[in-house]
Amino acid sequence: MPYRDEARARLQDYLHGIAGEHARMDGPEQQPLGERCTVGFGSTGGPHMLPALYNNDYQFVQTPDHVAILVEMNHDARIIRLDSEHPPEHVTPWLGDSIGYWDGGTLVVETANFHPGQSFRIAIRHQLYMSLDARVTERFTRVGPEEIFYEFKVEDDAAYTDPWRGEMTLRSARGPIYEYACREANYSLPGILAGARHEERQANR
Amino acid sequence: MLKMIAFAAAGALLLPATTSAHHAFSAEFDANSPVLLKGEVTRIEWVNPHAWVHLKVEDEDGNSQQWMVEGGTPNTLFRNGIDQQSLVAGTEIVVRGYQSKDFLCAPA
Repeated sequence: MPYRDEARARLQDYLHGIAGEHARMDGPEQQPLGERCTVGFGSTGGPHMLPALYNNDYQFVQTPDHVAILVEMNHDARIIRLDSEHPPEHVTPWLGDSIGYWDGGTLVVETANFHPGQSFRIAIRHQLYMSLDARVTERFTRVGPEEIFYEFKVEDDAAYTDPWRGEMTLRSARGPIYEYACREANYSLPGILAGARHEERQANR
Repeated sequence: MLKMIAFAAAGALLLPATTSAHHAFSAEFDANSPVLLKGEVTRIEWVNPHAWVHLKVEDEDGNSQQWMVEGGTPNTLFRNGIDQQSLVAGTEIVVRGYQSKDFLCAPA
């Protein structure tokens, strides 16, 4: 990852704050978004979209003027407006603002206006930082009945010295996609906070 | 009656070996507090983000404790062929896991 020094330091500071002996755990707001059931872990909803440990399923719904991507982790819905424009920069929805167009058989999606809460994307196998200036361009190309070739490019002069790219194959899976109503019984959050209070009591002895 | 919670280690019935915790294991559970539980399932919560198995455990003195054990996420379990009929109340099970940092943590 071509991080600028300051961006790398920000990511390390953040990771330092959520894990290890110096983790801040005063309340639920300090937990990563995935653990709060707000959006998926790391960058599962993206954009760009990366797999996490499970629930790596996506459902695409096309209409003449929109494409929606339902992300099983974490019940996120990306709604991509075709042939549209981004709203003013102070409008920063979860998953950013995505607009797209068709380049032949390839769906090209451009995303900006990222939510400040999604600058740090933390999962077990990927952890990254993107500034609010980031722009992500994704290309979805159906290369066969069972495969979509997925490419993305991240441009973010504030965080990186160069643009960087990734690509992977999305393969078809048997449906349906399942609801992942993470909030349904998120016993772990009170369990995590109880663990933090326990450690504080131990430290004060 | 005390109610204790634990996280079932990989390999337990409801947690496929390839799965890991939705939530930060180290924040909630104590890796230095392994537990070995044997008892009868009293209730299964087939819920998001993770399934929970409740069981009644009796120690050598005949004292009874209720435990709840966190397992895998229902979506992944179902895709791996494990559903609500795979484990039912009344079944005797053995659980290897790790106890919560707060030993008396009883969220549900």
